[in-house]
Amino acid sequence: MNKEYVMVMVKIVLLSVIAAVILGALYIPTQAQLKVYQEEQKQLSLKIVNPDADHFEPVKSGEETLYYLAFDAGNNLIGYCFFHDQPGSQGTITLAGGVDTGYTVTGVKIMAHSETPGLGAKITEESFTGQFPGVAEDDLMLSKDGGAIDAITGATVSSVAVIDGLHAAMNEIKANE
Amino acid sequence: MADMTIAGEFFRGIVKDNPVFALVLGLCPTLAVTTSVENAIGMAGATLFVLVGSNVMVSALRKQIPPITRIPMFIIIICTFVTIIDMAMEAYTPPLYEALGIFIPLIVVNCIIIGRAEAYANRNTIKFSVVDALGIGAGFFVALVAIGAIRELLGTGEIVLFGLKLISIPIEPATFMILPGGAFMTIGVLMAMVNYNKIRKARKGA
Amino acid sequence: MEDSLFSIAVNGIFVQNFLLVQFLGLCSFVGVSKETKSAAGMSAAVLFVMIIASIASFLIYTYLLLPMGLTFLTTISFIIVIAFLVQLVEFIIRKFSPPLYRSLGIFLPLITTNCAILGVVILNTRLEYGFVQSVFYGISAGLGYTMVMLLMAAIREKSNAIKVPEAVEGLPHAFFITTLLSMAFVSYFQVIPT
Repeated sequence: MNKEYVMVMVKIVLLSVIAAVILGALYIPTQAQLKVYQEEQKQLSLKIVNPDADHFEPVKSGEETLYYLAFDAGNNLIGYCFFHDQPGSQGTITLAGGVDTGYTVTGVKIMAHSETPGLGAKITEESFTGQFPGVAEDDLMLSKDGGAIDAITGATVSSVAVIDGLHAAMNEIKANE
Repeated sequence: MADMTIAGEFFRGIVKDNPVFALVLGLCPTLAVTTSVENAIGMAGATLFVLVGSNVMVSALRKQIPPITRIPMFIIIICTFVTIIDMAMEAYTPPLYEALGIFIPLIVVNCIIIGRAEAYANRNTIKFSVVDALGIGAGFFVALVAIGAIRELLGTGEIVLFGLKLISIPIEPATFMILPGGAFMTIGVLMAMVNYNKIRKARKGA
Repeated sequence: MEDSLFSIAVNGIFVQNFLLVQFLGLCSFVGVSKETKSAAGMSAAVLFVMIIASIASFLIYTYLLLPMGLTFLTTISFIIVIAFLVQLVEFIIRKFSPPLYRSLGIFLPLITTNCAILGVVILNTRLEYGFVQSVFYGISAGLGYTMVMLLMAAIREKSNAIKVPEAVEGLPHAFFITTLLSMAFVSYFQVIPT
């Protein structure tokens, strides 16, 4: 009986070890790919939120990147870009934004969100984000409050979250300037 | 079991043993991720991968697995495949991974998979286990895509697949269909239709 | 995440109700909500295992998996922990309280594959909750599950008297009741400030 019991234990342990080894071996390449993807996405997003810029330079505090400086081909500072996390109606909305040196918006892109599909999820669409470029900081509010941004029907909370996120990020840059 | 044919075993999974409509298994992912056809396809694909992988492994090891510890061993095997697809999707299809969220790791506790390991793969050859997994996986796929299509079409007025607009209908989108309530209603209506069909057939036969 | 305990509780019980909004634990929901007695038994078992699983998984994740860089083994270790805990609880209850075992015992083996349990522990790590938050979320999610389970069982028991078309009897009928419950949860509780 004992021998049988030992065999059962050995088999379970062996199976677990094999499973762990396979997963460990696959973990390394997938993590590397994930890093590559995230970096690519960041660079692409920066280009989208400030299309006039030629290259970007991170402004760091220790290891953490606070925001990016956007330069044109002649190495002149033409604006700031940033990534910002803002609580939405469901979860966190991660957005990328760009402003010129006078804090007029150059572009907005929603990186990640978990808003309601079909409603709040429309913040990713061009019909919403397309309203932002060219809007000055003072006009950056909903049109019903006298601003320049039309809220998505049925998803005011998500729309306001994007606007609030931009304001918060701008204030952060001003504080660090 | 000499009367088993490959085609027969395959189609059994889609129609007679359809995991969602006939066996009523795996309800959580079925309802949670079917807000769009794209998510439905992603979920069904991931489940199919795990189903085929675990069925093959369980069938291959069926003479080695001691009966008393079979459930923990099935779970370890299934969990390995789930973690593989979890890591792969996170790295290679991040937007889809975000959309499916917690339901990828939860494939582990999808009763369909452990059910097939226990009821089929543990007793049959590798060849038939693969066919069984493909059939059940296809049945799951059909159910998910059907529910996803109904909800996306009525809820947003169009079906968008990988950036392509497939169909759009001129209706005022009924947001309700995208919300959780719409999921429960859709599966309720579909099940009633399946039942109705069954009852009618039974009456004809009698 | 800096969620306050109040908002975790409101989220767990109402706004993000596991059964009606997040679709977690549905198999047990349609299976055992036919009568109040078994619904109560199942709910008590789920609530209990959810709490101890939240505690155990937090300790394992924070002190074992994270420092050793083994996060790719998260799912596999959580499911093993849950299976182990369920066995342990079953053993303890059988030994010390046979009456309790008779009412809860048959539901315990079903709990390992209940996605509400694995769901709560995975959500805890994904939302980066601390220890108190994790346990609190476990309790709230369990209470939310219990409430909906009892509501549903009560409605189903009463609605036995209603005559419905033959094709709608059973599961479709249960799903239609759930539709109405879910609509109530999604629409009404959204207004609670969290």
